Amino acid sequence: MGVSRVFDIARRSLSVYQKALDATSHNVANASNKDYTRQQVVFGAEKSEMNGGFMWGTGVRLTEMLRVRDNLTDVQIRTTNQKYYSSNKQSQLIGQIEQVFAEPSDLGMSNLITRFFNSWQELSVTPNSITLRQNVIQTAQQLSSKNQSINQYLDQMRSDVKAEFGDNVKMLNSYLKEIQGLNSQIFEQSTKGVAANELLDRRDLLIDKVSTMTNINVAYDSVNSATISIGGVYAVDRFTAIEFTAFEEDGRISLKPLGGQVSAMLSGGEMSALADTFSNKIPKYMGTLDSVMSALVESVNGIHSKGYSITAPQKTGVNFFEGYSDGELKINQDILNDPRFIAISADGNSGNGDIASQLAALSTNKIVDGSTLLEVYANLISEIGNEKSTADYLSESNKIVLDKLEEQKSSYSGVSIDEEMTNIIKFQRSYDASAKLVKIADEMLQTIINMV
Amino acid sequence: MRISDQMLANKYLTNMNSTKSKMGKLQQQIATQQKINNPSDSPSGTASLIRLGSQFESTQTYINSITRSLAFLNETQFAMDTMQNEINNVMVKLVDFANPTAQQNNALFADQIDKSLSIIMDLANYQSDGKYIFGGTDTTKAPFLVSDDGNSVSFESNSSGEQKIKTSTNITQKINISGRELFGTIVSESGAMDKTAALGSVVNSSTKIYDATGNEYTLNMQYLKLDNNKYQFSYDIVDGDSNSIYGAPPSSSELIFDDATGNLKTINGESPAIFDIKFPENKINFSIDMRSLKENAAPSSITTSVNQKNDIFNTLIIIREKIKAGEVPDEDLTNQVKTFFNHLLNKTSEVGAMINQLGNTEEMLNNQMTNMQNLAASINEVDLAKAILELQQQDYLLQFSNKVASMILPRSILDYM
Repeated sequence: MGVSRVFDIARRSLSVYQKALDATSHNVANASNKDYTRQQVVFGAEKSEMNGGFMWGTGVRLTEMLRVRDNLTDVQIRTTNQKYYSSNKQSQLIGQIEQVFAEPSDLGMSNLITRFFNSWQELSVTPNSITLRQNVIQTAQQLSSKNQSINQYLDQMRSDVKAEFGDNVKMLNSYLKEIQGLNSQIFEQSTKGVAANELLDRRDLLIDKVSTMTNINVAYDSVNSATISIGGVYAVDRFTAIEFTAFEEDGRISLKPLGGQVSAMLSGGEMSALADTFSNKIPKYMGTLDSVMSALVESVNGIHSKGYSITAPQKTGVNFFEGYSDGELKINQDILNDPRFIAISADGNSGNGDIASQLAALSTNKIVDGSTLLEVYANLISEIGNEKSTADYLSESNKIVLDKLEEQKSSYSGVSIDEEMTNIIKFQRSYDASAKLVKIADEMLQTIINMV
Repeated sequence: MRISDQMLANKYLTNMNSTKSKMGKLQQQIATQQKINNPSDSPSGTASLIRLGSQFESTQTYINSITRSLAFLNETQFAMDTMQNEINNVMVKLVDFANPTAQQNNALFADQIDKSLSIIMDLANYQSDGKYIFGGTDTTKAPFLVSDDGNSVSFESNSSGEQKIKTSTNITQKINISGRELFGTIVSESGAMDKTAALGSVVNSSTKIYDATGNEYTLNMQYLKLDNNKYQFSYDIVDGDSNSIYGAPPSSSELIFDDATGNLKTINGESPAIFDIKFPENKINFSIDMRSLKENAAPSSITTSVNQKNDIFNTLIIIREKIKAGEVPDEDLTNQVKTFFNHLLNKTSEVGAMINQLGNTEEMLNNQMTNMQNLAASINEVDLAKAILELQQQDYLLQFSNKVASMILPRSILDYM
């Protein structure tokens, strides 16, 4: 046992506390980096030595740079991410659809439908008034252009949604590729016995990101490589990353591996909301709108064609609408050119407006599957409203869960400057103490040297 | 629990966002004065608002129709009131003329009768808002025309149509008195056909009719049973020598009765209406009304009645010509004027009833509008005071959380080292 042992222990502890201070300053520096996982220095006692029949402690050593992370919270965050980002995207997309209908307001289609029927009602009182006939044409044109603009908007939106889905697929592919790269780097590092904390942080971040896009299943193998599958389709491991494509068939869009046969079952994340909006929601809304318009054309023409115009010579069998196709409601060109072609006289007399009365009565006739046109339309609006408010509700409730989980994660893995500062003081004191030990050992040696 | 720096910042941001989004919502409600700005604000409320909005617009249209019709009916009433005065004048003149001392002034009297006739003609061809009020559904042509020689008046065809408006989803109301109805000669067929009669059996009826100048003719009508509930109706007009005025018999019509109710269902496939018969060469002009005919199990019995011998215009022309010639119009002629006067009174009160009815309906619709407005308000209206108080409260919360955050967030152990 020599005095040099004190030097030894002191030197070792100086270096350990210096490293501890390094780690702490690394934490402090990353305090505002929300993707950073705090690292904790784990100390251990150095191996003891047997001497003179006693075990002698040999000081402190750095056992581990622990990455403080709770895997359970990670899993929960990813599950909730899939739900939250799906409902949030739904809410955002339906919100846009909701806007274009402009209900409830004077600018909405319900008002235009009502005004169209009312214009017939007014015309029925003064059937030969050209002004009131013009009024009918004008309300029909307004209805037609509103319907067209809704259809165009929904079409445009559908192609935008498809483009966004495609962008998401590209991003997903690049994430998967990076995860595969990280998997193999982490494996290499671990074979060298080095903890790849920064790489792990990056990989966790990427997996989190993927979980906001789509529904994933993550598993870790014995060498801590992340294996991910998307909706039942294998996506990435340590050796390969599958490349996905946006696959469109029969008006439906899906996520399919390049060259693969089976599409992923999308049930979470933004991509599922995009696919659902593209494949189901927009076609459903447009379909309902089409059925309202087709029924309108059919029933108005059915009655109008029985009437007589006030042109000379009189005409009968005139259709008011030319037809409805591809979201376009066309008014008979003859009527547009000359409102006298509107045929509302039931018996050929100019003062007879019976046909106009019958047309006005269509507003209350149950002509689409036992409902009036307006009821079908109002139900569509209330369905859109319901879907939006359900998505809003889900999004909000999942956001609360997500916030709580993030809080847990932050509580566990986040940096607290106060704590780090306290650690710094602690480590600094230990460093000071070790330095003092060196001084004492030096004095002890001096004493011995002076004895000689 | 460990509190990291991120947690404090996140918590503050989350709460601030939530408060601000509540404030945004309240601000929108206050600015638009509407609780429901998007369907998702209240899906069922939106559907209600759409339905109410539509009902509201429709009711407004009904009210507009009524307002227009009331104007039309008021004009009709005015024309008929004026007509009453004129007919009254004519009746007074006729009584005066019965006095032998007046008879030497026959030219003057004839002139006065002629003046009254022109006024009545003018009123019969009266226009309101471009529509001939007694024109039936043919409102673009004058319904009554004086012949070139000035000795007879003819009716334009189709002056019998009824103008109707809807005053609610299910109620349709007639808003005119047609020229035929007021002035025309109408042969009314009432009674019933025998439902049990054999096919091919025939029911006859006939009545006297007169042309514009007062000549007598006979109208013969025949109902031939073709099938169950189905009859062929044909007619002919013969003069005093029993010769038909038609070269070829006029075309027949097909009547179909409702098997269950026994009411007349269709004439030539159309719903039953008065139909007009015109024979210009002989100045014959009248209508046949078969709408009250029925079919039942009892033996056939048909009553034919005619409301007047001649229309008021031609009656007045005949009177004028007689007075001009120095003759005193006989009692038959004065009675015809009286009959028309009574008929006019009845029809005027009918117009009065229509006006009352429309007025009541309008009031009812206005009440409905108020109720609908109240209902819509209860769904969509923002309680301003409440909204502002809530906004104030959210504002306090925001201020508090800002204050607290500004106290806590910058605080750190660093301040004490």
